[in-house]
This record gives sequence, C-alpha cells and structure tokens, in this order.
Amino acid sequence: MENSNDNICLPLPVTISNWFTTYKQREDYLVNFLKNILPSSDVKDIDEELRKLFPLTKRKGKVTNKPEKSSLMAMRKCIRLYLNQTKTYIQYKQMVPLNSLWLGYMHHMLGIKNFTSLPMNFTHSHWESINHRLIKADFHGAIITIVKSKCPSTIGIEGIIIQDTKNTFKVLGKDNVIRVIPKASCIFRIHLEHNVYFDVFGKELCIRPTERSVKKFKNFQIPDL
Amino acid sequence: MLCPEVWNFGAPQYSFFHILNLNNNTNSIKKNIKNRPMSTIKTHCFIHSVSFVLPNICSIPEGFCESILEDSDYYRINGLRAVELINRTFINSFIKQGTFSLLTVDKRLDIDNLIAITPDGHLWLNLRRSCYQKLGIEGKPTRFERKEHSRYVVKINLKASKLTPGNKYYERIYTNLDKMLDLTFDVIISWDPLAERICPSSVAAWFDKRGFPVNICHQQVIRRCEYSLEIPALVQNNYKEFFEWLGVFCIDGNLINENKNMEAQYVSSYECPKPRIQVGQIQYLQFTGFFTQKKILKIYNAWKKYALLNNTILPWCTIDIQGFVDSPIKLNNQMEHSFYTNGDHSCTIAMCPSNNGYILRQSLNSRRMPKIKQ
Repeated sequence: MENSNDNICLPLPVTISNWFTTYKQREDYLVNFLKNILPSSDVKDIDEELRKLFPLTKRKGKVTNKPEKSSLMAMRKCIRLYLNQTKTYIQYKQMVPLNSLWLGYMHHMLGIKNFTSLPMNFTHSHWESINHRLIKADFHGAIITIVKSKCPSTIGIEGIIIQDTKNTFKVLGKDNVIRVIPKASCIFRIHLEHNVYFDVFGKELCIRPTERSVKKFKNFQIPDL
Repeated sequence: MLCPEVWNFGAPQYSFFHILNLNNNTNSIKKNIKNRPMSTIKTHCFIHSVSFVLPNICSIPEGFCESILEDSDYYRINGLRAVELINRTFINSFIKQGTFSLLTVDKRLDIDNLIAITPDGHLWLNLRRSCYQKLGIEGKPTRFERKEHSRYVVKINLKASKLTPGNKYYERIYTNLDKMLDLTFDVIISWDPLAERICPSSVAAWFDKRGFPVNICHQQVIRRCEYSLEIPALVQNNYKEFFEWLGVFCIDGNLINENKNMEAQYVSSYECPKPRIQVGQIQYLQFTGFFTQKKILKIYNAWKKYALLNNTILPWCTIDIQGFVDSPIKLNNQMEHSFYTNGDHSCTIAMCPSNNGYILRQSLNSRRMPKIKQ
C-alpha cells in the first residue's frame, strides 16, 4: 500500500505535463494571434467580440419546483361543505336561526329599529349613508333570491347564504340542496323583514367579504348584466 | 368617414330564387320539380295576403271566391298572456286536435317581444334581452346578432308529454310565465279542426270564457279589372321583366300609354316587355288577412283547378303569397325571421295552364348590412 501511495503523490513525468495548457494560456494565445492578424482598427473590439455567445441548441430553462398545494387542499377538505348531494349535513331549518341572527346584525348595522323606515329612493337624505352601510355589510345568513341572470336556470333560486367567497355565493335552499351561484352574472334580491328587500348587482359584490368592508365603491356603474 | 357619400348607399339586399319549369319536361333531372310549387307554399306558416292575376277572363266566378272565403275568419285577442297557452285543457283540445296558428300583431320584430305558435305545436317567444334575463326559461340567442346578444328565442314544444301539471318542467315554465305580468300581446289566431263538424269558432269561445276580449276578423277582398291592355307573354328568357311587369300591375301602377306622343315627352318610360299579347280584360283579385298553412293549400288547389279548367282562355295565370313582415318564423318553422331593412318573404308562381309548366319565384329578405363605400 505504501508503494501505491508514493506513486500517487509523485509529480507527473515531463512528457505528459508538456501537453497541459490552462484555460488562461489558451485564451492569451488566441488573443495574441488575433492582435497580430487583424487590422489595427479592429484590435480594440477583440474583447467584446470574444464575449459573444452563439446558442447552437435550445436552451432549457431551469426546472423550478412549484410549491405543493397539499397543505392548502387538506385544509379546504376539512371545511368543505357537501354540494348538491341528496344526503346533506345541513338542513334549512337549522339555518333559520342564523337568518334571525343576521337580521339582528342588520338592525345594528343600519342603526334603525324598523326596516320599513329605510329610504326608498335617492331623494331621501340618508340614502347615501344607508347604501354605504348596506354594501359593507356581511351577508352570511341572509335570505337571497335571484331575480335576473344571464343563465336562465339560476333564476328563481332562493335560500340562505352559507358561504360568501370572492366570486360565488353558496346558497342553501329550502329543499336542503346547497347551490353555488357565481356572482358576476346575476342580480340578487336580499330580503329583510316585513317584505322589505333590496336588489343589488352581483358584479359589484365580486370581492371577498373581508375586503368589501374597506373597499371604496365607484359612483358610476353601468346598470347592465 | 370624413364626408359620407350620401349618394352612394347601396340598395338593401334581397335574395331571389327562381325555378324555371316552363316546358314541363317530364324527363327533368331535378327531382320533385313538379311538386316544387306545392312544397314551397307549404313552407309559409303565416300568410298575410294572397293575390291572383287572371288575364283574358271576363269575370271571376263567385264559386272561386266563395271557396276561398268560406271558413276563413280569424280572431283577434287583445291582452293575451303567454300563461294561457300553457293551459292543459287548451293544449289537449286545440293544439293536439287540429292545427292552431297564433301570431302577434302590432308589434315590431326587431324591437318588441313577440310570440307565435306554429302549426306543428311549438310556442316561439322572441324576446328582448332584459325580458329573457328575467324570464328564466332556456333559450338561444338570436342568430342574427351573435356578438351583442340583444334578442333571444325561446322555443317550447306544446305537444311534449312532459308539459303536464305536476311535472317539474311544467311547473317551472308556468311559474316563470305567470310572474311576468307585463308580457301581454295582441294576437290573431286561427284554428283548423280535425273533424269537419267542429266549428273553428270554438277557440274564440274558449278565450272569451277565460275573460279576454275577442274580435272576429274577416279577410279583406280587393277586386280590380283592367281593360284592353297589352300583357307580356310568359317565356323562359324574359322572366325577370315579366315579374317586374306583374309587380307594376299588382300595385295598380300606370301601365297605360294614352297616346304614343307621351313616350316622346320623356327620356325613358316604362313599356310592356316583348313578346306581347293584346287582351280585352285582365282580372286582379287580392285577399288580405290571415291565412294558415292548411287554408293556403286549399286555395292553391282551387286556383290550379280553375286554371286548368280554363286552359284554352288563359295564356298564363299567377298566384302571389305574401308572409307577415313581423313574423318571428319563416321557412317551415325552422328559421328565425328578422326585419333589418325589410321583412319580405313571399312566393309567386306563374303558371302556363296549357302545358302545366310554371316559373316559381321566391323573394326573401337578406340580413346583410348595406356596404358603405368610403
């Protein structure tokens, strides 16, 4: 074993080491050659020209690993509500107390005791402030009906809002079926007590409820679906 | 356009179809060419007016007029709601037994909401976008405005078995049509019962019982006779001039040159196309009102029989059928009709009774926008 160790640590013979050239040496040789050959006007461009790259094959970009969504999906599955299945875990009559809670919240939000005293049109003095408070309110637990829609099969759906996402409402109907309704294509009628209701364009509500409470609304909107 | 060329607007487009079968070749390559007039007439489901031109006839026999006018009354209902047409008893008694036709009047096709019932039992609703988005019944956007979707067509098959009370489909249609309180129409209706002994006025009695004001309407008859006139002969190579002359005659245009000097006074004037025939008198008969498909076939057969009976006297004879400009359906209940610059759909048949040959001309409106050259 010591013999082999000595063999490894000895320097290489001269005949082999003559063949070595470092990268730096090769480069200097090439540059000197070019300086001698080229006309004097081109000599100063040599460094720049040597730096140019000519791709001869396709470049493959770096393969980036996308972050796994598994943790988010798992969380979603935990809170998932069962959709459009005959065996539902939530019944309409269980949600009715939620609706009465929401009505109490609306009383508090709008600052009035009786909903029939709400302003009917823009000539009333409190119109603007009531509208602001209505649009910033949270709609979980409200009874909602769809009056106008681009999709005819969604017209007439009625129920309690269970979940409010950025683009959809999850509505629980009286037949215990949960329906997901996109907001952008509908006009909703939100029912308050004593036959008072208000109609709102869904496209104005296409914001997450947390963000809607701080959002400033434009004064000019086109009233068209 | 900086400066629109107001003199350079093209005329609105029409589409004309001609079928020439004047020599009545029985060895014709084209199939069914003998039955073409009949099948073309069958494609009109609502007919507004029928007119006949009969040259060289002294007087039209009353029997001919009578056969056209008998049982041809129609009824007008004001303020009809679309919900009434879904009624089960109504469907069983009138739509399933016989042919029922209904058309909205006094409403313009491109602007208002319309309904119609075709003889094969389909209820067509041609609605504006705001009304369709409120209604809630599935329909298709109009094929004439694919980008903007300003109108929608809803088609309900009244003869379908799923349209019975208790069915989810029926309940949905019923509630959706019922909630639209402003969807009322003034309509004209006509019913051809299956059995001879049932009077067609029972449909009017039904609507009267439901509480709608029903008025009876009769066909309007216009008769005209021109004396000692030159008429063009029906030959294959000048059929376009022939139909032009026929059009001028039908609208009572000025065909008579009082004296030859009149021609010299104008740079150009209309003259009868050659070859010409001199006749003593020429009869024009027009019925305007509302004709159903079945009645039109009866009228066509009566006219053909009369023409063949007098084939030695008549050099040619014509029948002209005009459809409603505001009807939402054309061409055999399949296609949607629209009124952009005009709402024509008509059919004219010029027949030579001696050899049973004919020229068929169909004039339909075209929905192409007029090209404006800049």
